[in-house]
Amino acid sequence: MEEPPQEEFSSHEEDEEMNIIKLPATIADSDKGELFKELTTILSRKWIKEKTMVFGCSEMDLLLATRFDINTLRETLEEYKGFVEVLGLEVLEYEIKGERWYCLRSNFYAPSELEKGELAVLGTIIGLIEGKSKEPITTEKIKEKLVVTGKMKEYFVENTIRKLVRQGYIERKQNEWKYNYRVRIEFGEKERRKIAREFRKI
Amino acid sequence: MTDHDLVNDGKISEGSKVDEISNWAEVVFQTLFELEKKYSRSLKVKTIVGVQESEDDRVRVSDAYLYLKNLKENLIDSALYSDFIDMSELREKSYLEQLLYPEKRLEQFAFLVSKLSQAVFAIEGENSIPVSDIGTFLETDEILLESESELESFISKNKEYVIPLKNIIFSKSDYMSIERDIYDKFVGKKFNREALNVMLSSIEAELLSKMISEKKIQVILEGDKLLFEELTDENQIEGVSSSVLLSPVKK
Repeated sequence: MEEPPQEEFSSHEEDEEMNIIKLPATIADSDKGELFKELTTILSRKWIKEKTMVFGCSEMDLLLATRFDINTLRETLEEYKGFVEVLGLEVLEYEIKGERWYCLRSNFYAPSELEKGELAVLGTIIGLIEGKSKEPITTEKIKEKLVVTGKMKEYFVENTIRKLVRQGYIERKQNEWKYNYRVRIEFGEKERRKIAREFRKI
Repeated sequence: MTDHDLVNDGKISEGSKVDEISNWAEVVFQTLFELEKKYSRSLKVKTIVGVQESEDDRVRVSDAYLYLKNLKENLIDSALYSDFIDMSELREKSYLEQLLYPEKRLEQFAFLVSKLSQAVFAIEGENSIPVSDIGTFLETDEILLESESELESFISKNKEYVIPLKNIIFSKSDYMSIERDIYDKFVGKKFNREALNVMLSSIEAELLSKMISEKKIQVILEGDKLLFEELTDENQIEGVSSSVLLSPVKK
């Protein structure tokens, strides 16, 4: 009877090696360096998911990519947070549809992707949502503030709203505009209240 | 004067002082109450109280806290101070309105929003949304199906634009018979556009257009009328072709 070919045997061994899950304690410093490099690349990524722009990576994807268990992954991320802090960056956690996501943010400053007019529309939406009015914030209400008063053209407001949806700032739920994840991570509660106060002045 | 008399005198002056203070506290509270009413009313109807007048009022009640006794009085004092702040904001806003054009105000607001945002950091990935994506995105407007009544009201509101879809299958012989009909109906005759709209169904209009592009028929504009002719090598006219917009109404 013939022996099984040597090649097949070795490939089976390699597969077994690949399936070994490395825990942080067993990760060598050089491996950790590689892992952190990859994490920086993944977390500073901007891409489009289901017609909305997203930043970084979901926890689920990180689990699948690293094949860590949840606790190991979170421990690794904690260590990584300390690593990027030196560079003036912070690892930010946010939620999209109940799922936890991670991305990087500058501790100091990063330019906004929006232009002046678009920022004004976003500020108006924040002002309306933060306002005490119980009425739903519809497109008509936004137009009432910006178009009817002659401050902006209707097509510009409509295009900007679409852009804000794509960029992950706002989302529509039953014809009512609500914050999406990006307003919550880019504007703190205090900042949103300040915008609402200033909004009253325009 | 005896010692007893002196003591009595002291008691009387102390008592009168207490009365005086309680009277004064009442006056202060009255002033607070009136000013609070004045400012809340002015704020409600957006009437501006001048800077000097507002400052005088503030000075009048600046020491009031020394005479306030209970929570109710303290609350009125706080409400008045909050009104002073709101009035100052209203005043500033109205000055701003007078000083700046709306675009300038909007620009400043946008600047403030940008200043307050702490943007997310991204190195990799796309820096902008491709134009083609925005284009396709603009074409469709999503109607949420979860609110069925909303969908129904949308359809009833836009009834004239909603056309029920029908599947019509044509065989080659059907096409040929329609083409023959078009030949009989139009070739060698003149019609104006309105008449054509009534005479043609949308399928006939499509086929007529196809026949013209395939050079089976030629159309010549004579005045405001269109003359339809069979196209042969002899009668072919050289010229610039153009299109005629038809809105067939025949069902």
